Amino acid sequence: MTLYLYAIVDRRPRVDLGKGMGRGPLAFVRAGKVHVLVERTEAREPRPELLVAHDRVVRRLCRAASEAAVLPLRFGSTVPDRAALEALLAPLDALIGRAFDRVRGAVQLTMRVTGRRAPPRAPSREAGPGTRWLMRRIAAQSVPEIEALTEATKAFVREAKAERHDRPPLVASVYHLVAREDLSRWRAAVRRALPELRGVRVSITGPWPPYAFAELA
Amino acid sequence: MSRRTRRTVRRRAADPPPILEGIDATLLDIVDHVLTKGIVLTGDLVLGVADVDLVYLRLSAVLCAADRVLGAGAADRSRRGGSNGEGARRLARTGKVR
Repeated sequence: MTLYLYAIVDRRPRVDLGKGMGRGPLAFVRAGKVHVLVERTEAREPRPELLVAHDRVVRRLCRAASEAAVLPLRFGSTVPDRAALEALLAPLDALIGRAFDRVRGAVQLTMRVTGRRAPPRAPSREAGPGTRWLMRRIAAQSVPEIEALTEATKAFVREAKAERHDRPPLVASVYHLVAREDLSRWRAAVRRALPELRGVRVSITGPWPPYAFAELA
Repeated sequence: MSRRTRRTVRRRAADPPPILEGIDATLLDIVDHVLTKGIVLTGDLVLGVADVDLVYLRLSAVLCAADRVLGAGAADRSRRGGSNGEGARRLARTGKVR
């Protein structure tokens, strides 16, 4: 039967993680140097209750494996069997190792920024098409609306990602990867910075598994 | 007045808005994280709703079918395995429009 994949870990926790979203037992499959949390079940359609169930499994794993590095897999990832999983992961060894290093001991905080957009910065008239393209790329990943918060938290942020949105009032989503031991300092910095923001509201959720930082790059 | 309501009142009166302690997972957050983030490992990943490949996903939880993004003709070709099929399947795998 198909293996449904939840996450890759460098060390498997020694606890029973219970059942998965298909009500089957969760198990770890060793693939080379890593372990993958799997359930013997078919891929499912992304219904809300199944998305929640998938997320719960990954969060349960993160709680149980707090010392391990956890790379969540996207909803819907399946392989036919264990051999296919090993074949899939074998060439990714180095990439997975780097991703483990990035997320080990860290959690993700997610911020949704809503409100008034900062006016776009116009490129200089002398800028060539390449420069303008690069400036657009930079602008798409920067959120000047929360610059004070970005500055206040940067000492506690291992890595950050931002996505601007074009559906008002949503301005952007910002993801911070924060070491667990820095979490309280990160929160304090955010509390200090929020009053300085003008025209926007920031909704913060977390800590999450490092979904936004699990990519293999 | 319930504890939750009291907290809401304090929240409105307070500025800035509070940081949510622990996990406060809205479905929107879960959709964003679970469907558009995380590693994509397998070429077999296909997300579908009612037999329609799900290729477009935004934070606003707009889930559009292939014919909404690629145009009806392209989606038809995709379903028939035509020249746009691989592109549509790639979109379905990544959940992103490039």
